[in-house]
Order: sequence, then C-alpha cells, then structure tokens
Amino acid sequence: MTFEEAARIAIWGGGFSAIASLAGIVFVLLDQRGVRGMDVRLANGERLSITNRMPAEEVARRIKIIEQGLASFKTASAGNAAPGRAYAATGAGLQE
Amino acid sequence: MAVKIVRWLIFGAIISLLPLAFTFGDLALRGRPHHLVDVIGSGELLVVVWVLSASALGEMFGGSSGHPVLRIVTGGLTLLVIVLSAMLYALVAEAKAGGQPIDEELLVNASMILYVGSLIPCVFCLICSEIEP
Repeated sequence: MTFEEAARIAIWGGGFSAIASLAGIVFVLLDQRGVRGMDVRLANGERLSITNRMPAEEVARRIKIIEQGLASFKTASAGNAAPGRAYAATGAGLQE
Repeated sequence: MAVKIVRWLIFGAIISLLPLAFTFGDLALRGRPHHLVDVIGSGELLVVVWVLSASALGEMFGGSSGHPVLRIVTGGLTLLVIVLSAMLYALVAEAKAGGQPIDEELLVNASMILYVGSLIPCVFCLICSEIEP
C-alpha cells in the first residue's frame, strides 16, 4: 500500500468514524431522555445507580445493598466507632 | 458525565496539542517557515490521535457495563481510528527513513481529519463509560 492510498483510507475512515459516532451520541442522548434515578457512592469507591429503566429485580438487589450499608452505618455510629473505618473494613457500606 | 468530558477535553485533547503549538510558536519566533506542514508534516499529530483514542477506550472498558452493543460499536470506531493513525504513521516513518518523498499536504489533511474524527468517538467512549443500563 502506498502512502497516498493509506492517507486517503485514513481520511475516509476518520470521517466515517466521526459521523457514526456523532449519530451514536445523538441516539444515546435521545435514549437517555426521561431516565430518572439516584446515585450512591459506596465505601469501596464504586458508584451504585438506580434508574427507572432497570428491571425490578435489579432495583431490589441494589436497594438491598444500600440498606445493608445504611445498617452498617447505624451500627458503627451507635458503637461510637469511626464509621468510615467500619465501612472500609466491610467494603459494602456507604461512604462516611 | 459532563465533568468527565470537559476534563478529558481540556487535560487530554487540548493539553496534548501543546508541544505542537510550542513548535509552531518557536518556528515563528525564529523567523523560519511556520506552516502546518512544518509542524505536523512528519505525522506528529497521528501520535496524539492514537494516544487520546487509546486513553478514551481504556476509560470505556473500565467504566459502566451497560449498553453492550453501543460499547462494541464505540470501541470498534475508536479502534478503527487507532489502527488507521498507527498505520499511516508507520508508512510515513518508513517513507522518511527510505528517503522517499511524500505528499505532506495530504498527510496534514489526513492527520487533521483523523484528529477531529477521533475526538467524537472518544467523547462517545466517555459517555458510554458513564451511562447505566
């Protein structure tokens, strides 16, 4: 393949990639309209989201994780311990 | 999501162009020819393109796991840009090493289009790394 051929392929490829991506971004933004929910940051640094597009079982599973985290938080606070440390130890609780 | 995209655009896309901007400014200050061909005529912008694209691809693979089809399409488009820029750079390096003349105007055009054409899939990658199922 000569340089000129490669350069022309790169021009077409770059243009195609840009246009296809732009179409994808528009699709995603349109698809995300009407999505409602909440984000919770866990003690292990992960983010847990609940949205109205998720199946009910998934929402229930995530709510259970948050409830477990809240319970740990209450226990740690009641015992006058450092809540953040307790959560870091369990790894599943809410951030302090 | 917006914070991540803006941060990537400023500290990734724009900061990575600084060496090229400094080269352009230096050439201008010294009174030498300072056209785009003199700054990116050896494929320098292509390096920026594949580094930016690879970092955005890494963000997507390390991010949210939702929308697998979108992630495959986005990853494919970004990978296409990476492959094209790397291939073009290899051909430029080979031609320069062999002392063969290349059409530098064509190289500059291809580099610019690949750069602009890489920003949009990269932003798409960042969006895909954030959206939940």
